[in-house]
Amino acid sequence: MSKLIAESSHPALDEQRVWDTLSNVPDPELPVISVVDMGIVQHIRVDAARSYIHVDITPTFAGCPAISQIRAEIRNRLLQLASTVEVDVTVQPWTSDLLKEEAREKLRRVGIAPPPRIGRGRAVPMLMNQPLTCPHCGSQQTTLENTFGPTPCRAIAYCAQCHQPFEQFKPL
Amino acid sequence: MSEIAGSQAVAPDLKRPLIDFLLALADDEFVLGYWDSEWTGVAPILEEDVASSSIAQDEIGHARLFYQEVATLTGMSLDRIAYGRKPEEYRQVQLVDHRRGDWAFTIARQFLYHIADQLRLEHLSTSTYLPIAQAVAKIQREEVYHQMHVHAWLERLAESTPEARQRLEQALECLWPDALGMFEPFPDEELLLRAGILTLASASLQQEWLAAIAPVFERLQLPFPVSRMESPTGAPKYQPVIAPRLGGRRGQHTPDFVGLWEEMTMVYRVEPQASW
Repeated sequence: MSKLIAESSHPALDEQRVWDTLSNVPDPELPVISVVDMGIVQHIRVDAARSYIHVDITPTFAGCPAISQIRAEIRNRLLQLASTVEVDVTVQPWTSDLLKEEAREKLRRVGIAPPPRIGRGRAVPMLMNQPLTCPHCGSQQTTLENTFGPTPCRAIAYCAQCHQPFEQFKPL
Repeated sequence: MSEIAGSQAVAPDLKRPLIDFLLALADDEFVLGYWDSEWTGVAPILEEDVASSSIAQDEIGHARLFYQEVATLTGMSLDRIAYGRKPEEYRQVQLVDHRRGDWAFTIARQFLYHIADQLRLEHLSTSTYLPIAQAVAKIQREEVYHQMHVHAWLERLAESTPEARQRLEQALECLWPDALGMFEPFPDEELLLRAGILTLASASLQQEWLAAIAPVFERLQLPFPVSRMESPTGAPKYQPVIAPRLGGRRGQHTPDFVGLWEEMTMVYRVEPQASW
């Protein structure tokens, strides 16, 4: 029995386990969303024999001040799984299309409108020329107040229907 | 021209020119970002406090991408590169040396700089040095918001009250020689062009920049000390009628920058070995 418990608490180290663990590491500036939901985690490499994990992450915006904190947090969590953990910050372009569907829903629930999907289009018309949807009441009677907001990835808008300001995640 | 995958693949004779080039790209953004950050808390309206702070943060982030590559090439730390150099070892153009001035001055400078930067980035997106091309792809996505912001403000000031208009014109008159100085060739530019690290000569970039801003200046009737010569064969050629102010790329800077340098490096200089 005790042997069983010991084994089940240390399942084999594999990539899926790393993804699962990181799904519980919050983005420091948007704690309702994990770094995985955010699309920050780009690539994971696992060497179970060496008890080694390598993770590549990319900041949303190049000047994201949270990236070193995210890096340290990821490393700390993964050190519970492996004895050697390396986390590299890469310059892969991040796009708001990387936000997972669950993440978009979570954003909406905390009053942040998720970004319109860009696809191969351009970001600015997405923000400027389309009605934004209020995350509180769903109205599109909204105006963009400022393309810059409390963090680099957020803009500020106002809903004329429910008279609430709201944050709009920027398409990037 | 062959691609250069990263620092390991750089030919010995290219290393120094590449480092200087990266420092020039980074220092432009770094110094401008520092001046922009001074608006935090004192911008004309609250929305601009927020915008200026965000823009400054972005610019310093872009500088960090290029400094990171210098760190890889030299083995020096990021902080040592960003804060551990003497004023004459910085490579930014003199346009960004000026203190922030009034709001019109800030907008005028940002407009002149951002259009040039946008064109420069477009050309660098095909640089043979892959770390540059990758960094540029990330930067370009962010810069669209800066472009939009500065275009809106230039129009707003140009078509606003006589005082706003007058301040904008004064700022532009003052900044033109420095704006032309943005196209001072990089040290060893020929070498960088031959290797495809730089994909367009600075003189050609200046022509593209003038062609891009000419319609805006014409429509808003703003000072444009440049003559336009029609060419029977191709695009018109632009010839500035004033002299550029050069020297920034060789480390010549104004007293304004030395003042900023003293402030922004102060903490680092107190204890260079400190770990943050």
